[in-house]
Formats: sequence, C-alpha cells, structure tokens
Amino acid sequence: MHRRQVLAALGALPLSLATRAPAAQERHPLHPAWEAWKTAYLDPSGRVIDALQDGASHSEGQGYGMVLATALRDREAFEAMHGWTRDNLAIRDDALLAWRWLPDAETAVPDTNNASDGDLFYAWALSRGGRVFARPELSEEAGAVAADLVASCLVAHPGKDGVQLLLPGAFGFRKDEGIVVNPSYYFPRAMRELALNHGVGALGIAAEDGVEMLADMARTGPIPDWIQISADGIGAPEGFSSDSGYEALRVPLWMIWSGDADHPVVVRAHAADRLLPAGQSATVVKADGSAITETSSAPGYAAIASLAACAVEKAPGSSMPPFSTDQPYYPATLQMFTYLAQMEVLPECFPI
Amino acid sequence: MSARPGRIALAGLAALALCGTALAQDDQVIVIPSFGATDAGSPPGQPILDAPLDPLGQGAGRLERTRAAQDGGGATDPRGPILAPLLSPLPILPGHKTLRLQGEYPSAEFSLFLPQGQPPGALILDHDSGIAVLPERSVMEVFVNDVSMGEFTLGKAPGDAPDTVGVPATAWQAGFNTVRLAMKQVHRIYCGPDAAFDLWTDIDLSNSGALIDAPSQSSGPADFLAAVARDAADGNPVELRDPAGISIWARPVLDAVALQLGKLVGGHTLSYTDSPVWDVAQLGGAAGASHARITLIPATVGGAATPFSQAEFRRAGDGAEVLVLHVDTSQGDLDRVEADLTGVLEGLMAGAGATARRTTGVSIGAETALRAGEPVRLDRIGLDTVTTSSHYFSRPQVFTLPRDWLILTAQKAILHLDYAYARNLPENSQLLIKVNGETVRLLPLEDEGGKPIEQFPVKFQADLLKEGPNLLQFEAMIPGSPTDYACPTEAFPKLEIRGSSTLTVPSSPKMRLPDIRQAVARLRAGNIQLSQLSVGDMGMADRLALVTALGAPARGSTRLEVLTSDQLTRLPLGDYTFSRLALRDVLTIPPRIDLPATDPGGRIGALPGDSIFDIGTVEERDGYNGLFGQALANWGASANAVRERLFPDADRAATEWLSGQRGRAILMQLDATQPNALWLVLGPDVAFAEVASMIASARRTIAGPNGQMSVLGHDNIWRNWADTRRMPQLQEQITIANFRPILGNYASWRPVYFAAILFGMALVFAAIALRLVVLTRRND
Repeated sequence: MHRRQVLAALGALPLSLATRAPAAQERHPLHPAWEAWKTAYLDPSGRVIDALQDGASHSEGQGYGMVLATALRDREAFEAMHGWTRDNLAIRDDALLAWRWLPDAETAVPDTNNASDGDLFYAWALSRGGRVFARPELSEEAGAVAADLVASCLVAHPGKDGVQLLLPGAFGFRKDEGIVVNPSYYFPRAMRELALNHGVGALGIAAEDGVEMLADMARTGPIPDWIQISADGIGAPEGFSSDSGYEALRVPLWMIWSGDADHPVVVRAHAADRLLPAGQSATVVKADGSAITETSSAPGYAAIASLAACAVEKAPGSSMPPFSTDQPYYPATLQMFTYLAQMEVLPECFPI
Repeated sequence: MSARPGRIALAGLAALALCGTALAQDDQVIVIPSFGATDAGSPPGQPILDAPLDPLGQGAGRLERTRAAQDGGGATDPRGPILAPLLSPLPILPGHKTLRLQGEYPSAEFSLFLPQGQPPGALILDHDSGIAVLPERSVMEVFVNDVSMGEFTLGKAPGDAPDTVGVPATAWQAGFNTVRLAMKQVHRIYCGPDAAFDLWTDIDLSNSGALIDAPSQSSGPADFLAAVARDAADGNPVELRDPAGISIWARPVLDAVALQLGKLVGGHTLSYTDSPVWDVAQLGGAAGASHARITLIPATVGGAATPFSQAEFRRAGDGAEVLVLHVDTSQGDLDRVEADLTGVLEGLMAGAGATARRTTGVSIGAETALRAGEPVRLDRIGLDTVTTSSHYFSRPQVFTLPRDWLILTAQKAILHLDYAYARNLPENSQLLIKVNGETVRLLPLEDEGGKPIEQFPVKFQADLLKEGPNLLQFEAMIPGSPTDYACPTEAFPKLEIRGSSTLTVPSSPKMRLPDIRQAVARLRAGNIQLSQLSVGDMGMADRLALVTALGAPARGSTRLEVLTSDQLTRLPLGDYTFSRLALRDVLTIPPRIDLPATDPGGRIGALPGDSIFDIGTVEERDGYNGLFGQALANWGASANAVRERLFPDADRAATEWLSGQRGRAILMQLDATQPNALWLVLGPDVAFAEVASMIASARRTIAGPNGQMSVLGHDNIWRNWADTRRMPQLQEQITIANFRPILGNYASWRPVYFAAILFGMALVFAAIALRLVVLTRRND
C-alpha cells in the first residue's frame, strides 16, 4: 500500500467505516458528534443558540450550522435552520442577513447590519445544500447572497490597486483613518467555491488577496482580531481588539480547511500553542506576539491547535480531543469544523 | 525577537484590568519566542506550568467585544490526579473490583505500574472488614517493594475514608512495583477455625493505589503500562484505533503485545474494543473511559522517503496513553513489519521495569510440571516451606501431569511429607491432605508435636489424578484454646510444611480418555469459526481479546466452532441420537435460582457439585406394592443397573443430565471422529468473548470443562457430563514393558467387559480342551 493509496484510504474513511459497521451504514463518522451538537446548541425551530451571548442567535451560527448539516447530509436540520434564518434574519432589502437575533429583546433584530462571515457561510451552506440535497433553488439563493456580498462588502484596498478587501459588514467599517477588517472573516475555500459556482469572480480574487495579506501579517506577528488598513499600511483600529484572540484563532483552521495547511498563519498559531502543556491552547496572544495572556482547555480550541501541530510538524496522528458539548457553542462548532477539515484536507492527522 | 518580561508584565496587568477577569497574572504570562525560532526544540525560560488558568470565556468579546469572559461550561481537564491501581495476581472476575483477604494472617501481593516522572507521594488503600474483625488488635502491614511502610488498623466499615500511606519517593520506581499487604485479623469473640472463616477484609482495587498528581509532560512505555493497569483495574477495555484498516499487517505484533499485557495485569481480565476515531466525550467526566489505546498509522502517510514500521508512545487529546504503531505497508512484506516492530515488546518490558512475580500456589507454568515415576520435591513445583500460626490454614498447590498420562488402575501415588507442628496443640487439631478436592488423609496434630516428622508416607489412589493440572491441598484446623475467647495476643507457629516433601506419581503408558479437557487445553485464538465468520474476519479488537484469553494462534490448535442456540442443526452429534432440543432448553430456560457469581479463587480445588441445578427425575415405583412387588421392583432396578453397566444408554444419560442443567453456554465434543474439534453453543445474548474468557480461566483450574459436554452455568461454573462408553485410547506402541499397565487400564475402565472377555475366552479354551479330551479318548 503506497502513500497515495493510504491517503486515499484515510480520506475515504467515512465510507470505509460505514462499510465495516453495517448497523451504522451510511452514517457519517461525525454522526454521534453531530447529534450531540444539535442537542446542545440547536433549537427544534432551527435556531442555533449561543448561550454565552445571552442566548442570541446570529447569522454566523446559522451559517455554521447549515454547513455542518450539509456535511452530515442532515436535510431535516438543514431545512429547519434555513427556514428559521429566512424567517428571522433575512429581513434586509438585499439577500444578506441581519447579523443578530435577540430572544428576549423587545425588538429581536435591533440592528439590520450584516456580518460578512455569517453571509459567507450562509451562502456556502446554501450552495452545498443545493448540490447535496438536489435542490437547485438553494443554489440560486446562494448566488444571490454571494452577489450581494460582493456588492456590499467588497471594497478596494486604499493603498493597493486591484486588491479587494472584505468588509466585516456593509455599514460602519469604512472610516476616515482606514478600513476595518476582521481577518478571521476570510474563509478562502468558501469564497473560492462561491466564486466558481455562482459567477462571483470578485469573491475569488478577494480570497486570494486575503490569503496573501494574512501570510504577510503572519510572518511578522500573530493575526490580530481586527486590523485597520489604510494607504499607509496595516494598523490597530480604535475601539477594536488588536490582540490575536477568539476571533483570530479561527484563521489557521480556515487556512487548513482551504487546503493551505502550510500557510504561515498555521505555523504562527502553532508557535504559541506548542509552549503550553497538554490540554491547554492559546486563546489570546498579545498583539505584538510577545506573550500568551489567556489560555483555554476547551476541546474545540485544543482541536484547532492539535490540527495545526500535526500540519506543521508533519507527524501523522494528532491529539485532537473527543468532541464535547461541555463547552460553549463557539468552540464546539469550531471543533466540528476542525474534524471536517482534518478529514478532508489532512486525513493523516486523525485523532490518535 | 527577544523576551521582554517587564513590558509583558504590564501588558498582562492591563489586560487583567480591562477584562475584569482573572485571566493572567504578571508572572503567569507565557513568553513566545521570536517567530524565527519557532522550530526550536525547547520553549523559553518561562515556566510553562505557570500558564494562566482557563477562564473559559471562549466566546468572550467575539460578538460583543468589550464583554467580560464568562464560563459557559467546563471542559474536562485530562491532567487530573491519577490513581495507579493495585493489580491482583489472583483471578478477578470481570465486573468485580474487590479482593477478599480471609483468615487470621492473610496476605496478598499486588503489582503496581507507575508512569514515568514524579513519583507518587502516597498509597491509597480502600478497605473494609467484616464485623467480626476486632479493630484494636487487627492490623495490616504495608510493604512497597519489600520495604515496610508501617502498620494500619483494620476494621473499617464500607464508606469509611480509605487509608493514606505515606511512601518515600525513593521507595517507588518507574514501571513495575510490588505492594504487599500482610494482615493480622483477630476475632472479637472466638478463636479457632470457624472464627477464622469469619475474618475478612475486602480491598477495593479500583480505589486503591498510588496517587499521582498529574501525568508527566511526555509519554512513554511506563505511562502506557500504567494506563493499561488502570483499565484492567477499572474493567475498561483497551481501545484499538485503526482508521486505515491496516491492523492485519501488524497482527503478529499486536498478538504479542496483547499476550504481554495480559500477563502484566495478572488476574485481571484485559479486553479490547474498537475505538471510534471521532469520539464524543461523556458529559460530567471520563468515568468508564479507557485510559490506554493502541493506534495504527500507515508509516507512509508522514511523507517519509524510506518509510519503515516503528512504534512510539504518545498522549491523546483525551488524556489516553497511546501506543502508536506506524506500520509500513508499502513493501507488502508482513515479516518485515514484524521485524521492524520487534522493539515494541522490548519497549514495553523496559516500561514494566521487571517481570511480575509468580503467583503462589495457583498459577500454572513450566515449573509446575511434575515428572511421573520419580519423587519430586514440592519446592520444585512451587511449594516452598511454609509456616503458619493460624487456626485455619489452607495452602493449595497446582501441579501438572503430561497430557498423555492416564491411570485407571488401583495404583498408588505417594506423598512423603516433611512437616512439624507445635507441642500441646488442642485436641482435634488436624491436617487434611486433599487431592483434586478429595481428602486422602487426615493427620491428627497431636502427641508428637515439637519435632520434625520426615518423609511421612501418604498414599492415595493415582486414579484421582488426571492429565494436565491437578491440585494438592493442605488444610489445617486447630481449635482455639479456649475457643470462646478472642485468640491470645501472642501467636506462635503451629504448623510447618516443608518444601523438601516429595510427591511420587506412578508413570503411565501413553494413553488418554476421549475428553474435551485436552481439546480445551489446545484451544488458541486462531482456529475459531464464529457461525459463518472466522477469527480472521473478526475485528482486531475482538481478536486481541481472544488472544489475551486463549493465547496466540498456533499450528495444531483445536478448532472451535461457535454456534448460537438457533443453529443447533449444524451441530454434529456423532453417534448420539438425543434431541437437540435438550441442548436448546439448557440455554433458553431460565435458572430456578439466581446464584451470585462465585469467586474463582475460592473455587480452585473444589470440584463443583451438580446438586443445585440437578433437577433430574426420580423413577416412580408406585406400581409395585407389597413385599413381592418391592422385590420385583428391586430386581428390576438391579437388572437395569446391570444392563446400564453392560450396555450403557448414553443418549438417555445425556438427556437426563441435560434436563437438570441451566446455563449460558455448552461446550462439547460429541463426534468422536473429530478429537481436535470443539463446538460451543451460546445462549441468547451471551457474548463469545466473555465465554472465551471463562474457558481460559477455567482451564487453568481443575474445575474446567471435561467429559464430552460441559455447561457454563449462570453462576459461571462449568458442569460436565462424560460418556462412560468412551474407551481409553493408546498413544504408543504396545511393548512387553507396557503391556501390563495398558491391559490394566483397559480392565479398570470396564471391569465387566474385561471379565466377560476373559470368561468368554475361558469358555472357548474350555470347549477346545473338552474337544481335545473327547478326541483323544475316542475309541477308534
């Protein structure tokens, strides 16, 4: 059995496992984790609940959940989330989503601004759902969201001709001092696939620009949660965290899942996590990269760190922990994504 | 980039003030080395263990960026304290976690495997005693690696806090350690053998052991073995993770590892289970989760230019200690994989640190083999000189005879006993000598006390012995003086049995009785058919559980076919014609009495009786009334008995026996033409692996399956049925030297047949002689 064959075998693992276990035929290997995720974070109405944010739901969570449902081929869950999202967040004049829904507020959606990462995942989920569930109308909807995302959230780089930046939202991030960008909103894979499948080439170009920008940043320091881009370069935006924290810790995951496991941001993230004892991962790193100021034992963050370690050290087998719902929605969902990224991109990094 | 501690400290404090949560102390900030140095092998000088504790504010500030961190839940921290458990060398039934030490001076020695790194500071002993134990005078002395750690009072009640024994760090060693508990238990009221039976202390093995604060930073063979020990003590399986399906390439090595681990955990049963790669952690902790795992990774996936098979020890994300086998399947060479991985076992043994000690008395090994036809000293088969101060004393000793040893005649085996006992022992003091559970001699311990008695001959019938394992047992009962007070403070040695005693078993011609006992002894993990599935088709975890229980596959091993109770039509009955429904009923009709599982330690040496489940019918004789009728009935019964002896009806006997049995599985060999094959029929919902484990443990005792059919009862005891028609089989050529003993065995097997044959021959010769006389006297 040669390397290519072995990788193919590991990559085809969901299928082979199903074959070896007739009782669980056609079940995705993440089925138990997915069921646990749904039980813990998904309301039967289709609302993904972020308990840590006062039980709020947001476009990001809905998009995340719908992407997971497409990966797990869970049509019922997908449609529930899609329906709730359409009913409660798709209230803008365009195809984009309002970014947050508050359960106990007098007005559930007080701010109709969008969040581009939520829209990106929502569109990607619809695109995948159209294919997976053989529902072409979902694909059309995905195209509409992607087109409006390009129209509302892609802007020209103030200092580099031809370079496109992804705004975090349609309003409020273009300032006199520069453009505020959240690097973790760049998910190149979703952007590329939407560009390819729905004729929104600008999104693909923005993805490549983003990958390059992130690489440049990672060579000099950790990826901040927020940056401000002006003609003079990259700086820290006022009123936003410029530490590399809970936002930015997604960036290495997005890069790996996008097929770029050797990206400098992965190496940079591993440089911090490798200093910590087993079971701990860095969640906040100082903006200048000099120190870790916060760590966590949440399995979701540990999973990202373990996958990054496996990618960087090229040592087969990772120490990704088992999935747990004994953690908030955010790390739990990232843990699910990390598993998917590992299966699809780094099959040799399965949890030992 | 160099470290800037001052600035970092200020930044950390600022962050603390900003967030309002105790995220980072100035001396807890972890300095990150410069990016260019990320490949460096060691972290900077800042102590890693001072990392700020987990605030679990995972989503903090993500959407509301100024919001303070909140804890939305608790992630399981795999770094919690670890208990390296005590492993019992005596058999512990699956599901059982306690070991009972009974009598006045019981002792037990345990194995304890420690991970590498900082030695534990304390030994936890969780024990409770029977109500009869007098705490004021009952103590337990604790030895770690043969060094006494002091004495502790016995007499705790269930639920009492366990004892914490302070152990100097120098007393421990990484890997294998021994912990010995030597107890003195005194009865509150009485003194004597009966009182001694009431004295017991249970050790909770799952909650006793060395307490380790946290695992070492790195993982090694000692850590893996310690994790295996935890699984064994907790009854958890060792996990096997093989996402690429390459375990078949590592099968020989996995077999060897499973065998080695099985030996290291002593009397505990080690099982294996396939582990899902993407698992879900149980909420509320890791109770029931396995601590050890074997993971297989194709050696080619690392991108190595010249891949080769190798092993390493790592720690998984869930805290499990993992033996990672990188298996090179690229060459298609199974032998090369095996050769490359040979070091795994060496690594494991290095982790063990030392070989576990032999279990006294009941373990079977090469040293217990007894050569027939010559005197053999008892200390050569494992019974060293033993002295007791107890009022009740029992010392079993297993010895094994060759598999082709058979004596059915009235020949005698002889034990020449060297022993001594104290002067003025109370009246009725006695020593029982038992062979395979049967008392062969009662020696009064009176009169001649105070001086050694050498080579005292104890003869017993050699046909009490069987091929394979046999049990010699010394049991002494010395009344208290007086009996109705607690025993005196000062105990004195009462009896000594010396290892210089000899046992002589007569040699026999190479013969055997058709019996599943030998086939069971030759049973290995390889040659097994599970319905339509062979062992080769089984999952590797199931296979390793079998290897652990039955041994690695070997050429010439017994073939075992496993059927379920609805597949009885596939069972070959040989020349028997009894109904298969009788077999099905044994497995499907529930037992009349729910018995608690029996401690196998107590079962060794005691041949199980059939009385509890024997519900065989008694023939009614109501039709015979009056004196004449009774005489007729007696005559009829006698005639039946004679007929049974001359022409036994095996089908009827088997059916009657089966009607009195209830059990979970039947092991049998009914087709005499297939002596190297066994059939196992499982009852509903009975797991083969569990029965295999029962077979494995039973064949190491004298109470295992034998005869032609053996039923595993609901009390986990094997009950056997033997067909008296089965004729001894000669395994060697007849010579002048062995003719007489061979003939003797056949004659003893069926004396009636032998007498009938002789009688017939006598008649023939008499007829010939008569004819000769008539012919020679004919008056021509």
